[in-house]
Amino acid sequence: MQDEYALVEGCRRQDRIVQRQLYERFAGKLFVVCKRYIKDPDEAEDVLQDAFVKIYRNIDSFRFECPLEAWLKRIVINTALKQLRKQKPWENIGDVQDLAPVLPQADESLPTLNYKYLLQLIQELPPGCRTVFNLYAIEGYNHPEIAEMLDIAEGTSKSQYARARMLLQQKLQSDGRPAQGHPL
Amino acid sequence: MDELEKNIPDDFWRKTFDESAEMPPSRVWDAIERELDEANGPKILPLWGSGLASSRPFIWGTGVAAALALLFVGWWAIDTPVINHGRAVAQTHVSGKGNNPENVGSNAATSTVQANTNGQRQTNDVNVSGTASAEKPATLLAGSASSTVDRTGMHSKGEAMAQSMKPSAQQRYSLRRLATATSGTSTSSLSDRPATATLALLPPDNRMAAASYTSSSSFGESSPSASAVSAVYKELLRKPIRMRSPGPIQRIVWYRPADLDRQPEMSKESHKKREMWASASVMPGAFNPMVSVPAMQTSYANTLVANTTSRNSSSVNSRGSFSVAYQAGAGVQLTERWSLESGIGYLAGHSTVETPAQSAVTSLIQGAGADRGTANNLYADALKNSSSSNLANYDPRASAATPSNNYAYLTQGNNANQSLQTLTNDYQYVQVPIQVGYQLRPRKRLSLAVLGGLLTNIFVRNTVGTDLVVTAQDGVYRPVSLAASMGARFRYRPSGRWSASLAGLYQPSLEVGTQSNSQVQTRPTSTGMSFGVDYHF
Repeated sequence: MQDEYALVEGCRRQDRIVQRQLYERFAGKLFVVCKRYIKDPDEAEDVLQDAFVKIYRNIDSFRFECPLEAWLKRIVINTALKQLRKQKPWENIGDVQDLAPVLPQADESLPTLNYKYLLQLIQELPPGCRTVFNLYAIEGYNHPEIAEMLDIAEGTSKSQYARARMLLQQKLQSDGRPAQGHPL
Repeated sequence: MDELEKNIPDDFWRKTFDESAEMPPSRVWDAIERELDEANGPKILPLWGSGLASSRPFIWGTGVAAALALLFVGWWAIDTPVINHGRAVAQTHVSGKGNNPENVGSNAATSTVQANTNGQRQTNDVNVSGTASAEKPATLLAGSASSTVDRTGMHSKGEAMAQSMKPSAQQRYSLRRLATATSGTSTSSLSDRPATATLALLPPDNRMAAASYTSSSSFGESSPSASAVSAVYKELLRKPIRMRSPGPIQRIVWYRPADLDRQPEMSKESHKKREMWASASVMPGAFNPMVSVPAMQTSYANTLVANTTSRNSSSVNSRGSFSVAYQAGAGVQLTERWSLESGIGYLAGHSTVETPAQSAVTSLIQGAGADRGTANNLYADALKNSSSSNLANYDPRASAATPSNNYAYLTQGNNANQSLQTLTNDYQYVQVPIQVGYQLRPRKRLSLAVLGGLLTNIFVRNTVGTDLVVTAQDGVYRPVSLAASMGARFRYRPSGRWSASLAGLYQPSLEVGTQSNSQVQTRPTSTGMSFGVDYHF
């Protein structure tokens, strides 16, 4: 915490060295976040760049009311969503009722999988499904919150998430990994 | 569905990605750093861009503020007179003999030195003045003032003057500059003078006044007539203009521009542009010349029959008929309610005259026309008799009238052949009205004004019947006669430029329209409704 305080204060002073330290400390994790939302690597880099610029310019608004990493992550997600809003990938999605019978049940047993493989799975999802899945399954937002964030109906968020799970399950099965036992 | 509703974050996914990290390429940081460097560069007024800078109100607000700033700077640059700072400190009271106003008033410091020198009793002041450099005028002033006041025992007077004298803003400014420039060193240089510290505590205004009084008291000691105090205003010596080398602003001099010359409200009102208008109108109405032939005053030298008339004026009557007056005029609105109007017009006044017709007794006739036995009338003959040129254009044969000079009038009562004859009587006048209007409904779209004034009738001609034409050269009618003009006028003004007027006018004559030696008297009167169109400038 003391270390984060020093980083924030240094960034407020626009100390380039401290800014670089902040970047080196969080850029790896935040880059993965970007790649979870943005499939294209170059575009993900652009989102990360924009997010860090926003971080440095708005560092004064950080009040240590939450962990610094969570604040940084939120900015990155918002930047990615802003980028995705230009494409509106979550439109024209059917209601969740149509997909409900085929949804698999979640299993709490968690096999160990490489994050790169999981990241690849997520990136192969359609943009709408990928966004909702990231927000719901990884970031922990609920559907009303997601619906508000993406300016979509709550049912749409649910259907996107269900579809994402279905697609991931199918992908796992096609890769020879049993669906049973996976957190889908 | 229940599983979906619960939103239990999948620890597997979250833990997997929480622990994952993948360092982006170095170009990302380079791009970030480059963007941060650009953001930290010189600020540019964001007339366009994103966010707030791109908002239309911001852009308009910035533009309006810039325009106002430019206007203010322009006004300030134009209206600011050249302020002579050298005039400030030279308010010095001098009195007594041997004073030299030029020397005293030239400079505050100089005045003190001069005072001490001329007084020849303030040896300390002379020394102080001599030791004090020109760079410390305020100190010199303060020191001189205090010592002089103490020695002359006029301390109370000096205080009174110091309180009463209020130097102008420029004076305060200049003295403050002087005092400020010498702060620190000045106090030490005169530390051996106890009164200096006291004076130094005075506010700048009083300090200046005390300094000014110093000279007065110094001179006063050398002159018994110290009570006579006069003020001398003298400009300070001006410093030559020296261009400053470019560099950062070292001092900002604030000063108030001189008050603008304000003219009294009355003069402003007089300079206010008066509303004017031009009008064209036509007034159909009735014109009655009010003709009368009061008495037969002329002698008929050639009349063979004695004139036995004893007529009265009622024997000739005139009746008004349809007439038209055309007028082009102009007016000016003097005040909110009062207006003055004038113009030029033409009156074609038609009327009829009933006049006794005269029968000529052919047996008594000698001369031309005896064979026709035509009848004459009193009015026509009276006109002819009144004419200085005997109406050479009058042709009795054509008009069925008989020249009166050669015939006798047999008036009613003594000749059965006499009867009334009705003749047309058409007058033509050029009219020049001058009238004043009083607006009863000012500044209304439908205004009502009461009009009154004079009407100058310039006689042109009078045509009696079809042949008898009396012009102004005949000497029967006055060339110019006056009539009154009164009435009321409605004016409807739908637009700023144009208006329509409807006026009812009554224009009685103020004097007889004929010459004093004329046998005919007229007092023409016209009444009518005037329709006009006005154009307002």
